[in-house]
Amino acid sequence: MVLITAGVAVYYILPKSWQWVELLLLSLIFYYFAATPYTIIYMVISTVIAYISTVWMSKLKAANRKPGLPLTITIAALALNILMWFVLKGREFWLPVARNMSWTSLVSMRLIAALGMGYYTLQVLGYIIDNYWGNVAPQRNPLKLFLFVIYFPQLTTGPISRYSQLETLYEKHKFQYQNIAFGAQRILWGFVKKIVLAERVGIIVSAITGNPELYQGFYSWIAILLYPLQMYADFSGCMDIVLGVSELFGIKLAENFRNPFFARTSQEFWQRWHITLGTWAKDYVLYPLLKSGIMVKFGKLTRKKFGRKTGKFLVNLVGMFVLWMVMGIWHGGYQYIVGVSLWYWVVLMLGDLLSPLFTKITGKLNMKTDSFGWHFFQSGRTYLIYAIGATFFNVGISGGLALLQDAGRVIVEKGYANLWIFFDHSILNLGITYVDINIIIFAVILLVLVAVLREKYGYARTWISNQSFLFRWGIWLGLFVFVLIWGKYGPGYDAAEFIYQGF
Amino acid sequence: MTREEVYERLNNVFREVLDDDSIELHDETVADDVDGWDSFEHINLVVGVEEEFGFKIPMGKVVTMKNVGEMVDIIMEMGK
Amino acid sequence: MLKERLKENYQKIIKFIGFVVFLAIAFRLFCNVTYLFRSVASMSRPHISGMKNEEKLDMVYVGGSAAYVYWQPLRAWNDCGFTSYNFATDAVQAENLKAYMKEVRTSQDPQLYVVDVRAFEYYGQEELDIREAGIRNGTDSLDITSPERYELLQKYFANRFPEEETDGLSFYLDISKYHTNTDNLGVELAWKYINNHGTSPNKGWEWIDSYAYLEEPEDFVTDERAELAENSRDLLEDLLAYCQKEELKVLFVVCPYHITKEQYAKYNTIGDTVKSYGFDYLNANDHYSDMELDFTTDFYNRNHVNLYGAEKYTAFLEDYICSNYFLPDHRKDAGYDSWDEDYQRFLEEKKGHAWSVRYLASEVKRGERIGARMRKTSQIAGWSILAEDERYTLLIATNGDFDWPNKIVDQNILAKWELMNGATDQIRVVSGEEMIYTNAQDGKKGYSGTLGTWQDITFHMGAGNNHCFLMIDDEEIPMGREGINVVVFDNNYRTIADTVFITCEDGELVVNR
Repeated sequence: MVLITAGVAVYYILPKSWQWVELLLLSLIFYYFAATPYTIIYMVISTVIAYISTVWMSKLKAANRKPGLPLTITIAALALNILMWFVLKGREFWLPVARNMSWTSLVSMRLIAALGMGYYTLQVLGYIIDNYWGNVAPQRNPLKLFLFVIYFPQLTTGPISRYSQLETLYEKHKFQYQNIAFGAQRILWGFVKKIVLAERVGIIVSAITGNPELYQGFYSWIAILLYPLQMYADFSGCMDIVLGVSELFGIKLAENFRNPFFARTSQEFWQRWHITLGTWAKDYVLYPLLKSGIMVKFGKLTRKKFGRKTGKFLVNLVGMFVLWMVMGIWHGGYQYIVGVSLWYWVVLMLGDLLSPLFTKITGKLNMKTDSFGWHFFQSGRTYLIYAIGATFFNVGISGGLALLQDAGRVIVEKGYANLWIFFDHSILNLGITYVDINIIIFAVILLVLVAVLREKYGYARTWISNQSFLFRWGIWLGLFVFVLIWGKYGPGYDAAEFIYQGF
Repeated sequence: MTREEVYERLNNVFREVLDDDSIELHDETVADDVDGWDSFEHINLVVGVEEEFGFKIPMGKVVTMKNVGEMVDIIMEMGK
Repeated sequence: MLKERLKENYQKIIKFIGFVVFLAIAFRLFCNVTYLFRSVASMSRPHISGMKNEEKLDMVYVGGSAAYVYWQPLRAWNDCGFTSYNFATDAVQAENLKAYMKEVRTSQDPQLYVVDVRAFEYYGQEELDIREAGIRNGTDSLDITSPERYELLQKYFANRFPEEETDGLSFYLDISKYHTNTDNLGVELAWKYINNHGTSPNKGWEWIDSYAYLEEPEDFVTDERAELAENSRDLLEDLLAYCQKEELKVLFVVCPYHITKEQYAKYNTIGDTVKSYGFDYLNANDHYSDMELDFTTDFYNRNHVNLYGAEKYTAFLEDYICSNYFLPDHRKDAGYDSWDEDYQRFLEEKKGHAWSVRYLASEVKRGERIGARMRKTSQIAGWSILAEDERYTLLIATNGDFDWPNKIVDQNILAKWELMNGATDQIRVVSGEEMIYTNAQDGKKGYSGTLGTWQDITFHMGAGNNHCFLMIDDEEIPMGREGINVVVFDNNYRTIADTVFITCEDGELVVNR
């Protein structure tokens, strides 16, 4: 906190051309405290690979020599980075295989991934590819390029930025009060989501998933249905803090969330959830794949054989499969592949297949598909679909299956539905109080309010900033005190521990 | 080639690929405006354009084009 | 020209002022919320925050419990007419003292300071660990806006080696520790503290209703000088240098308590240092007879006097102050009526507290009579009832065989001690109703435990091979006769009240000595 305040102050005092240097310094300091310092070497390697490959490529292109070489360079550079990522972060995939070899245990212990490796690797890959396509010019200053890789607000949780979006890092930024105000407000709101709401909900979910033998029946439902809320509050809260901090410096990063649970279909959901990952995968994986000679030929073949609709569907099937597998692998574990990739691949494909059927049904039944009620139903469906997939995300493959199975039993098995747990105070065994539940409900209401304001006005704070200053101040000061008192931070008070010793 | 000619041929491509004869394109048209123009169709449309006009659109442009107007610009440039 | 520029920038200026005001309000809120959540159970908090209420103070006594349990400002007011106050917190650490003096000087300018130096003696006895309570009693009572608070914490963390998990931030911004205690919001007193204004009606003095029997320490006076812990010495010199620079009048005292020779030697060193800076030093342990201090009636543990001892100490010290320092006598002055009223109230309060202490003392004294009767009894029934009293710990070891009695009454007595027929080498430790240890389960032939009011006397007991032994604090107690050996230990007086061995003759238990 202190570091950021001081950093911001210095930032606007510095001569403008030095601002990016300060950002680099701050990022280095941040890295030193937040991560195992020596792992920065991996980022340096990535940067060096990116730098050499892109500069070399641009020289070749300008001289128009050796037309095939740039592609080879690109592929080599990409492969190296991916390999680094795979070795350090994709451990779950190769470690079991290599376990038989005796030296691997020694080696694997020393392999600590750099902080934010998944995120910056994608940024670097995108940069190299953009260079190959000629969409950006290579950055000639290696330090500036390094800043692109290590920029501290987005290091740990994204968003995944494109080079063209972050070129503003090197520009001059004039002091604008708006940036400070909006940035600070956004950070505060992020804290509300993260340490008031997400942490609290997390207590409930962890208590249940930590003790599956003890908590069965409707408890499973609670765990499954609350986890998306926890995930959203945590992840988007982090995003708010990240974007808010960056905004203080006048650097606007891309949004990663846009009211995801307002989505009517799962397809729309992924345009609203972890947006930057989705667009990255679309631009750098899906499009090149679909446009490749093989896929085009395949598409033509299937269309000829099975007709337009089915042909298109089959192409989608393959394309989606690759896309989702990449996104799943990127998360770095088998449970993500199952919970995210496979699950959503199946859901989206089914949705695609069945959508004409649904339209027929709703048409026949004369349902008002434009109404709020229908939208509510669709949002609920979206939420539920995500909840099921996310279960694997949360507790792994076997744990997820067990949890879902248990939840299923509630519906199927007679007498298994333990509705009484909602009324007999046993909720309190999970480590929360009724006050906590009230806080959660209150925070969720706030969340919904803000979401609605966002749909209407772009950002809730734009609406707020247009209100009278008493109202504004009341809101921000109120939120500040709210987080101060009910946020889950600090060592916490233990009445028994506080013994006043006399001598 | 004039811009109007390009638009005529472009409209045909779109109507055929998307199986919708009502499509009318303008400079500001974006994917959201046209029913059925999603990520997958985007590639099909690009391939269709490539076949119609006879040249390959570089991958970089495929990713960055924001609206139909830009697409037309690219076509006119490549067509020279 | 300027007017136009001003008009242009009007919006910006307004915005800027607004921003500053907003930050000021946010900070104020932060402070208030912090004060709201701080603990209300602390004795120390009213002492620190209550000083703001006081008007002109002539003397301020800075230190730890050795101040607020020893010095009665209202008594001194009545006897000599000068106003004083105990700016003292429980378990004070040496780092606190200079910060306290500086804090006092932000609102007061007393003619005399009295500093309790015990913190310099007991510094570092727990391996420089955190001693969290000692520090927090100060830092959690001081204002967030007090610079002394931060100086204190800086020095403190520089000197000590906290464990890995210690959250240093929660010392600086204590809201981080206390904010989860939302129950505090329901306590009226907590809200009264919202601006950290407390009240200490007795001017920093605390009634402690407690009593323990002690005997005057012997042979503790020495000419030796023992070394202080390094940090302690530095802190002492730092404090002295500060007082010298600010030209303050300070008296450094050691209050009377159950002192040891090693401690006395350390105080000698402290005294030397103090005098070398030109300040006064007084070790009250040299003046037991002047105070007529009686360890058997005036204390509640080894380190603190009870209210009777405090009276004597206050009388002694106020005399010393009046003779050596020229403090004003305000008893006839206008504007000091509140002190008179407070003194009257103080006297009223004393009645209740004195009664409690006398009651506790008499309870302890009863042990004398019980012990005397016990030692005269050879009848098992009467004896065992007396031995059942909670003040005693019975150390029981059987040696060899003994017959089981026939009478039910006798059998019940043995049953109470959970002794078993036919078993050998049985060891029991009983106090009142509680069975503290029995070797019936683990069959061990020896046991070590603690005795005394403060469980600081160790004993080792053993039974086996027709042989019992008992050692209490390295002194051997004869216990080897045949039968059931019982040593009755009086925890209050920390002596043995009776030693018996019980045998069974003609089916009846007999008490033998």
